Amino acid sequence: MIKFKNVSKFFDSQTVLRNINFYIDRGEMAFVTGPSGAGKSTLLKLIYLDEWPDEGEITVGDFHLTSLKLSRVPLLRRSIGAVFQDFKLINNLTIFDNVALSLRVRGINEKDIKTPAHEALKKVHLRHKAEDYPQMLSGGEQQRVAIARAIVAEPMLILADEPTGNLDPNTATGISRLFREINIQGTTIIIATHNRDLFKGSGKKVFQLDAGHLIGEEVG
Amino acid sequence: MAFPYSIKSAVRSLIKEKWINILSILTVASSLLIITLTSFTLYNLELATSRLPERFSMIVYLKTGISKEETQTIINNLKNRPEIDNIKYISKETALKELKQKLKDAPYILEGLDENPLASSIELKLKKNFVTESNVNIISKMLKNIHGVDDVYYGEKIAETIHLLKRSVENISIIILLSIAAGVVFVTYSTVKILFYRKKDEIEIFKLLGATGGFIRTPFIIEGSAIGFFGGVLSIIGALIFYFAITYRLSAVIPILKNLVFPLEFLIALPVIGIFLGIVGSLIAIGRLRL
Ligand SMILES: Nc1ncnc2c1ncn2[C@@H]1O[C@H](COP(=O)(O)OP(=O)(O)OP(=O)(O)O)[C@@H](O)[C@H]1O
Ligand SMILES: [Mg+2]
Repeated sequence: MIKFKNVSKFFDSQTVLRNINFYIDRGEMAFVTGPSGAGKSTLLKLIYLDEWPDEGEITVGDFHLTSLKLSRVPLLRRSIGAVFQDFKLINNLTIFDNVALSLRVRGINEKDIKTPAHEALKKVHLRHKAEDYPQMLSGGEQQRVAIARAIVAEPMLILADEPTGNLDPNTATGISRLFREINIQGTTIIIATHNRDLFKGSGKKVFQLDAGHLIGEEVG
Repeated sequence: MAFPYSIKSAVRSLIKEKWINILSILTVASSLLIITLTSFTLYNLELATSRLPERFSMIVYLKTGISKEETQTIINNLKNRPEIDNIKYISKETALKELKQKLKDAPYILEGLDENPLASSIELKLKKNFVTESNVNIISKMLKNIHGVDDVYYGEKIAETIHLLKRSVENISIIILLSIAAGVVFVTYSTVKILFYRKKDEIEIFKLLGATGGFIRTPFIIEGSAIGFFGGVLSIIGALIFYFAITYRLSAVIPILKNLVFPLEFLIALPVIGIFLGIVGSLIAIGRLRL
């Protein structure tokens, strides 16, 4: 499903990712961990092409990113549901419309939007906040909206960047369970996190990044 | 189909950014009003000048000393020509009688005339649709070539002056129309561009979620055409006020203004032109941005 082959990424003279190689199979759930600044977010950004690799080859499903035409980038992104580390909610849209946006960019009919959007909000326990605006929500609530937006269109791949960073342990456990349920239905999931509780004892692959190097692969 | 949503978000943006939108609608409206008044002037000028030729006539002077038969042949000849509406023969005797009638207060002018110095003539009226400047010239040449015709007189200079005047008014109008239209395009262009930059962050997020260029652009194009549409509607109101002001008020002073005609087509044309120019402006504003 996802394959990195000798991938490197530089910002100016700084090496952010160096010679990364890994493979994640369809339907797998995997974690990327490592200290702050290790390159976790950058690695995820390379997958949805918010950043382009400077060296090496990346394959995501049928997309060969190195040779992907610019016009196909939206198509790639629509096959992915991403939870951004900084949420990236749209402040002048309601919570409902933020989540619905994920369906609208996919060209879903207006009449087929309401049910799944409310359904996704229910999964993150925010159904009652549908008509609020992002600024009216706490950091953790905003984070859960971002999660709802990533899962609502049932993409084949979910990338979650620190999805429990703003959540208390209990809520974090709930979100972790939600991801596992989605994964069981066949969705490939990659989660970048420092929170060891998310993968401890999960039996899933954990990639360890440090200063841009992939220093280990363990089973959580 | 994301179209209903595009309309919804365009409407939301129109309301949210109401001041900039109202301002550009007003600008578009006043520009379209200038377009309307220019076209209105052109239209009425066209109407007025196209009526003139109804009265357009030529006078064919016959050579002195031609026989009655020859005169009759010429008359018959002219009668059969398709471009000639009707003809009137004025013999030199009739002409002299008319002249004497005109000069009856000063009959001494004609005293001592043994011989009638006037020539017989034929006055002919051209059919309306044949009266163009070049046609009149051709017909005049043709008439001069007829055996027995001495000279042809027509209001050459008048026709030419009207023609020239009309031409220059047309040319100036076209320049005005084009520059104002370009102005409308520019107004919607800048408005949409400003709105686009205000929403830059939002659009970045749209792109990360996989929105296509079309999905992102459509609301802006709808917004641009809405600005054009409302500008067009407003300018109709302005144009009607202007029209009634000149036909009712000013015509009391200048009666000829009562004849001005306001074509109803304008009422449909203005919003349509507004929408068209608005779409062009917004397309230029966002069409070339790399999404
Ligand atoms: N756009 C950018 N321009 C320059 N440097 C960047 C840019 N994005 C990331 N970096 C650098 O790349 C390095 C890795 O950043 P990244 O965000 O991937 O780390 P991270 O592992 O996600 O950290 P955190 O756990 O704090 O989120 C950092 O040193 C950062 O300064
Ligand atoms: Mg990060």
